[in-house]
Amino acid sequence: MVYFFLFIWQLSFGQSREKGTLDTLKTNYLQEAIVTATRTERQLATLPLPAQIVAKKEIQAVNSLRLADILSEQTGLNIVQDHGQGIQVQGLSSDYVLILIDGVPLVGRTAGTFDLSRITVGNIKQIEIVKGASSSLYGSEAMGGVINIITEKPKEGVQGDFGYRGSSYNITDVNASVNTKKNKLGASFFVNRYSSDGYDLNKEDELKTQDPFYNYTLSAKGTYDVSENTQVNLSGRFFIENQQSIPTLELSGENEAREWNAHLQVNHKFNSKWKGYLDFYTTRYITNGYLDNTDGSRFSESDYNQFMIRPEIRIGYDVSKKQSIIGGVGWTKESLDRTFFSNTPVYNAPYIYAQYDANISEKLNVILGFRYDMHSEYNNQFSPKFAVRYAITDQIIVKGSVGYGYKAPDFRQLFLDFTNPTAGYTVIGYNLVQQRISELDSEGQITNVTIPLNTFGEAVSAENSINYNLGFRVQAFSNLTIDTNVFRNDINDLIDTKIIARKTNGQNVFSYLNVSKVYTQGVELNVAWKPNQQLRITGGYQLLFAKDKDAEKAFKNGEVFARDEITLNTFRLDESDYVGLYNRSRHMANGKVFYTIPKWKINMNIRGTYRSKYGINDTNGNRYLDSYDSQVKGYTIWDFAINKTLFKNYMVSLGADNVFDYTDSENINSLAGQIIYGKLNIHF
Amino acid sequence: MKNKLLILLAFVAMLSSCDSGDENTNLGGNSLTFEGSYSREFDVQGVTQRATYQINQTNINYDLTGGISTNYDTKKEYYSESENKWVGYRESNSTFYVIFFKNVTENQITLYKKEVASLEEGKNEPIPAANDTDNHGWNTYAKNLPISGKIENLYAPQEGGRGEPESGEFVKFDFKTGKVTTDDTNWDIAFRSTTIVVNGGESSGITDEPVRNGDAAAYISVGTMDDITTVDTALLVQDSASGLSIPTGSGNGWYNYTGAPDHLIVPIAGRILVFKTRDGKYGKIEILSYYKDGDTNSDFRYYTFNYEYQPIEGVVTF
Repeated sequence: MVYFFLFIWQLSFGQSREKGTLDTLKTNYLQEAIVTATRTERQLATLPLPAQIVAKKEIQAVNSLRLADILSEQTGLNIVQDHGQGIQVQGLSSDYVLILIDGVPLVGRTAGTFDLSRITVGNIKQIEIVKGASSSLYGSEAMGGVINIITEKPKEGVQGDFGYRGSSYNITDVNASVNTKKNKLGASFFVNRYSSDGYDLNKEDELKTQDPFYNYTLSAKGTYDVSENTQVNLSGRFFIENQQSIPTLELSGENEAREWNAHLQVNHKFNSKWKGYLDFYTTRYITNGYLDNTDGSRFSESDYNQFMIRPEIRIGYDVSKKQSIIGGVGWTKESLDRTFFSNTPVYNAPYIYAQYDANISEKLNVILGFRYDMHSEYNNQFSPKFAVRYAITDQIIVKGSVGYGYKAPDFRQLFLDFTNPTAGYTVIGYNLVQQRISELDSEGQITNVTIPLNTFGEAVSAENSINYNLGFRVQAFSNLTIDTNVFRNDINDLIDTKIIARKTNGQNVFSYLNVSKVYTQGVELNVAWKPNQQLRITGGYQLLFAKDKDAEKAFKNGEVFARDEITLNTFRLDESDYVGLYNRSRHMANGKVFYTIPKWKINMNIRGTYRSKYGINDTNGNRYLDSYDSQVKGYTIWDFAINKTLFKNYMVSLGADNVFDYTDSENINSLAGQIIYGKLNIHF
Repeated sequence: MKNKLLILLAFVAMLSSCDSGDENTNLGGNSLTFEGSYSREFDVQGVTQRATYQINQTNINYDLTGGISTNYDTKKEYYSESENKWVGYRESNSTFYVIFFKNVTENQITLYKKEVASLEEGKNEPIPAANDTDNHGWNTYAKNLPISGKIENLYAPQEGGRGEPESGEFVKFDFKTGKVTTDDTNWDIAFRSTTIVVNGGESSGITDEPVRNGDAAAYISVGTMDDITTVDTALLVQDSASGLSIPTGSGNGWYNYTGAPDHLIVPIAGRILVFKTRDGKYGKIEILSYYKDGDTNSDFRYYTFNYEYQPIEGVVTF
């Protein structure tokens, strides 16, 4: 409450844009442009693929701070806490979702998870989400979906913004940005500081649930219009974070992360038919962490340094007004130097892709694309995709797509060489198995090898999937839109850890192998209703089944059992007892109400996000997630925000995230209790 | 096959009627059409008693174990298939027994036993009524009935572990007695922490493992205790330098380690450990808990398990 008088917000959006949007919602929706799905600007509504856009207006209205916050409120997107806040799309975990910033990938994952809380939403123009496999355009990781963060571009004139948000747990977020463009030259600068004292859900122990941290994001962009047909853009971003780390009473330390990106882009229009793009992108992600014992001696250190460089040339050719072709060649070089790697592996991966997009008739749109990735460390990948959209009537549109997706085995899966100092087990990356097992054997550390070493003679296969989507879009009335999509992902060669040998100390040696086949399937439904100028109501729902095919078979064959905790009696489980993969909720839903009172210059919103129960642990130890395992209870988070414009250029906001203070200290560490905040924004 | 058997039976019956005048010299008629070991278990003041009839052509051995124990042989004096009556002589205390059989099937037998003064009295004894409860009445005995039991809180401690060298004495179990033992030879399986070794095969190289001097072996089967009715002897393996017959490690053998946040050792439901004992008999075990009194909040390394033991030589079924 103290903060109430502190904050504000800029109003150029607040008023002018808001009003415009409210007046012409439908037209706006139709005009929303998305680049991620086809790598060319396409209207969202005409796209044959399941995609959505989160606009700046919504981000600002709900006062989001980090990417994880705003995405967790979107239909079918699930934020999962597992070594960071990862995103799950169509039931596929963060490992299989590509995160882009202005079309180029962000790197730096922990155990496969890309932590979305790394990304501030302060300078975002819109977030584009394409669901399902898009490896035909983006290659590895674009298996479950692609999230592309589109940042603001310099605009004519000089504008600046300053924002401050303060809240419970001393979570403080400060933004400042300047944006200018004059004639041919444009520039923008953005700085963000985000910090928190952390929080403690379990007061019984002396440890915090989340340790205090702070981070800075700096970004700058320069644009130069060489001529009417040629633009040069240069952008850079730097991120630094420092977090305390106190995992036990005996240990304390710090984790530091640093990340930078640099992206040079040259666009040239040769003539009305030919366009060319040149991208030169490089990024590095570094973390350094340590833990010290209470006497000050070093307990452990961990370092991580990933580097990527990627040049790409892309050509667009408009065959006619109705047909266009886009094609590109590029080369990715990646390296990773980290603790528990005996050397610094380098990936070299040239690639080529092409896409044909045709409006065969006014009603029928077809996209045909492929990509071919060569790779130094695993099998080459050919990723085709086909998508079609057909307008049955002006109000009813059907769209379908089939695509191939894959994820390259990551560095850890190929090159890790780790022995746990306390427990004594060893994990060896696939490519090192033959050499390291022989070494361990000659040192007398191996009792027996359970998976023959020649298994590792051939390169590991990339995890791959075939993705199917079939959707309908119905414009029921001028103010009611219903979007639905049925999806299925058949995933093969999933890489998992497996015991490959036993050690003389009684422990195991693990490696990563292509072991399982899983599928995810479900239905997504989005409804948007705008009964009048002031009110907009949206609702979303996802039904999801995510299962391991072998596990399904085991249940079917009666090979899975459970034991009564009290009587210790064993009983056989059947197919209906199989719950599926961990961390998947069968039902997820959200509802949002946005209400504007123009004469008071106030807009407000209430949002509810529900996820049904889900399993995070095989609590009864039968190695499957079944209906007798205790699961995390389903829950709903309610958020509320109210924003008022003052003196044209100021905006004050007040809100509460997690209004009803829902927490689950046992199972959900990432969910702080109720957060009350105030925000001030000044636009000049 | 069945027809042939019937003809044979009829023939035997005819023979027996011809021989009826001869009963004093011949042991009394017919040969038994059933042989083997038949047992039943019952409670006497809360203690399980097990009674076994080992039926052979020339004698029947009666064995009673549990709170009260006894064992004696009865030599066949007379058997009439038509009456399903058998009379025998117990030399050790000079008494005769008459035994009536009924409902004889492949898997079980129902019998009534009565002490009589002489062979003649036995021969003349009428078939008792079905509801006759004298002399313990009619009882049903199962063929080759395995011995079943439950061991609670078998404590199997260990020194070291979690990266430190593991050591300490194994705790041994003997199927025959159904008890923990410290005997160096009369044991079948032994426990230390989550590791289980058998009294068969070679040294696996584990510190402080017991000397193997028997012929035990093991394998892990999937099912409930009741599902595992026959030992698949082809699957049996012995301990060796290249590994234990019950593999160690989470998910490999009998248990699963749940990891954070609970860090429990959970016996995988539906895993039955099938054993050949040191002397070539068979047993099976279902581990129920690794925690004292089956309570996961309590101390660990306390095994509770159900077992079944087939005491009869050469029988591979339970």
